[in-house]
Amino acid sequence: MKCNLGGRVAIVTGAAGAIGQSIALRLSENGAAVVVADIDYEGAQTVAARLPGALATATDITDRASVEATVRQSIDRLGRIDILVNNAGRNSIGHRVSIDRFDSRIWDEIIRLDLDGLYNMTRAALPPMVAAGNGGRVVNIASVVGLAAMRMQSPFNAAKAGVIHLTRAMALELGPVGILTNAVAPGSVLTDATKQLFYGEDGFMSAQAGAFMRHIAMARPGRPEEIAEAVLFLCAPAASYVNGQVLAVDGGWSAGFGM
Amino acid sequence: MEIELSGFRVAAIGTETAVCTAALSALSDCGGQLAVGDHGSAQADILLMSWQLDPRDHREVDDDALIAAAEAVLHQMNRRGRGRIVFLLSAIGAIPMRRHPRYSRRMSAAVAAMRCLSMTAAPEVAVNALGFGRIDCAGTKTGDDAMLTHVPLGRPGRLDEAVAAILFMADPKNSYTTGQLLVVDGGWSTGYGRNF
Repeated sequence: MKCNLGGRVAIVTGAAGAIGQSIALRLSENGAAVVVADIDYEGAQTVAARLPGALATATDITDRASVEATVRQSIDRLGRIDILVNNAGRNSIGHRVSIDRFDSRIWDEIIRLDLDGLYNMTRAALPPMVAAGNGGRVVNIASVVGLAAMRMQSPFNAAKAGVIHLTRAMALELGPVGILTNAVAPGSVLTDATKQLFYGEDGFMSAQAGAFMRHIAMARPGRPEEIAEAVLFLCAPAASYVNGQVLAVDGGWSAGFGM
Repeated sequence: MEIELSGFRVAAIGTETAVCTAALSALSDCGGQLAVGDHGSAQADILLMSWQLDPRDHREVDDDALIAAAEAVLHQMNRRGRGRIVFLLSAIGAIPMRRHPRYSRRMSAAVAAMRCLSMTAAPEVAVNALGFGRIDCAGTKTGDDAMLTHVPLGRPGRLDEAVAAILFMADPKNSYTTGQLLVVDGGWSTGYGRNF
């Protein structure tokens, strides 16, 4: 799809990663000036260099001073914030065990990044968006595991379910000021992390990848650009009556029992 | 918002509604070729399944026959190796509404059928649904006026906003979304949006 995001400024967190850079690219291709925010500043600079008018920022969403600095830089350099895509997040890769054995340190890291970090970034970006009175969009990147729980990744389940319900609460609170909040819940997506886990030859769980694919109607992992397409729609000016929705982009994984 | 549909045939089956009519026009504007009649539907690459969108519209419709027709079109799409089926439903398919028990049942049943068809249709064909809240259409409306007391955006939707979501679901670039209900209701079904 094509839409006109000319004159709009979008912050994308985790934008040096596979999904984040696809989102940044699609928003930029449609005219937005993108703030490429990532804890990996070098990676953010590499992505931003490909996008006209983009700004790279070193952003650690677990650090409130860092997200506030990102918002200040965005306003100082690009003048405004219209779109926030909360994409940064992680799951455990090597540590896949049940809750009775789950490492509390890894639990804390995932909740701190995926849920608290999303709050930190949102809390910092919203005041100037609300004050500007132009409305806007927030798109939270959740996960299909926030809709249907999966084994051996309890903090990721909990964090993403939290993100989904937070999305709904934000939609109720921010709708009256014209800021629409929605979420995209990706299924399994082909990235460096999922290659380490499933899709690479030496993946930690590559022996199970075939069985896993049998639960996905489209029988393949998604591509980052397919997630980005849904984000672009939710940011499009024409999508102005979609609010509080969680769109699973998962190849039919969550549609039902497909075996 | 634009999508590229050159070479795609577009058809609709079911109840004639302002939303469906506007969507067909928009899909045609994007390069889709309108296919008419039963033969046209069988050849469609993009099929709109149009349900009554006003819960007070009590015209008799054979929903089973509509699903059966979709299955027949789906069979043809699978043979050709591509296709999109988009159910045009009410947001009442996502959350039942007081005073509309039969309509709530019909809508939620249609959502279940859509999800089921999506599993049959994959991998080449995607099947999704849109659930419309209270949308003002030329001279008609979708949904129930009572919805407006709980819409965070504080207004009904417009026809162009309904059509935009249909374009997204029809877009060939939207290629990993299937079996989903996307509700276009300004947040009516999101939660309890009333202040006290």
